[in-house]
Amino acid sequence: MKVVEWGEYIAYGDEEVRVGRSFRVFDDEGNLVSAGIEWEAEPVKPGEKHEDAVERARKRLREKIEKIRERYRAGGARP
Amino acid sequence: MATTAQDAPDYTLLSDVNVVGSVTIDVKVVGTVNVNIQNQPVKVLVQNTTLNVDAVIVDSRLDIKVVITDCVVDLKIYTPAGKWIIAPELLTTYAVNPYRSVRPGTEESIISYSGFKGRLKQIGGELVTAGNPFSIYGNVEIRIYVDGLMAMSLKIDEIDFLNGRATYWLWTALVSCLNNNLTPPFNCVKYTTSPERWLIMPFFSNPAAAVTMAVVDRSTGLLVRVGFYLKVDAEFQNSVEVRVYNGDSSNTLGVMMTGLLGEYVWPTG
Repeated sequence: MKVVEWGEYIAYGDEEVRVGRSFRVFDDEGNLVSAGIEWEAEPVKPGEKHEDAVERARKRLREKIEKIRERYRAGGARP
Repeated sequence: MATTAQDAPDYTLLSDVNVVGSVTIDVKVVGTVNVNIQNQPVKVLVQNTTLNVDAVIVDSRLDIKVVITDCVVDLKIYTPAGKWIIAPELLTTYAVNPYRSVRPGTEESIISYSGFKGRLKQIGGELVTAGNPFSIYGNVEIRIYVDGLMAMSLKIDEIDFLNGRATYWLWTALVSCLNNNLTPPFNCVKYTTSPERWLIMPFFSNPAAAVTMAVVDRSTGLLVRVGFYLKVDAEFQNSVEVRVYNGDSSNTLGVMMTGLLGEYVWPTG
């Protein structure tokens, strides 16, 4: 199983940003077997640029996707 | 013409073979046929005839580019293995933004996507005056940027036009009735008394776009809250962004929005 990251979504709010990452799951023969999207929300601190909060959310998303990847790699289902 | 029922001897062809004239060739293969064509174009022209192909392709990855014109195609794909059949299919995704303020004279990003080819299918949301009433109806623009370029910029009144301007006329009728002490029109209800505001709910029948509700401020006659939806169907190669422009010179706008998107299963690039 192979998890391939696809698109990135960002939804902007005054006090919070939400960053989403869609992904595909392919089997060993390259067949698409699943797809999904994961989101992380991050507060925007007073005076902070939205992009800084987006970057923190991206970091947590990468960790979340990596866990999904490891789970599939081990032959399990999506966490 | 010579014919023979005997086995033909093995031949090694050292020159081109041209079959000319009206010849019927009936080849029946009992054994194995191996065709190795490397780095050479293979052209098969089939015209004005019926082509029956009964093939089983297994253990192979096959890339086929087919151009089909002027004919009827009846294609059935059976996948007992349960694997996905992938045409240019869209997987629906979404994004919802928390409340975002848009200061006067500025444009802010509300929802953005970057990655592969897809489609912004629909947006819907609510716009609200954050402070003093101002004309949301005429001063706010919903802007769609496709692959970095602005593809659409619609004011709320222009979205209302797509639904036959129902909101404008219900709003106008309500203000007229209130000013002349007449019974308010249908689909209008007093929302708050101080300040006095009325909720109007216009009929909307266009599945592609409409202003769904609005709140009228009695003292100014302006809309201070507006709901809408818009079926965008904007195709993009790798990015799309929904931005909102507040054209008012002194008042801040609040925006809440949901976007429905679609990602194609395969990237094109």
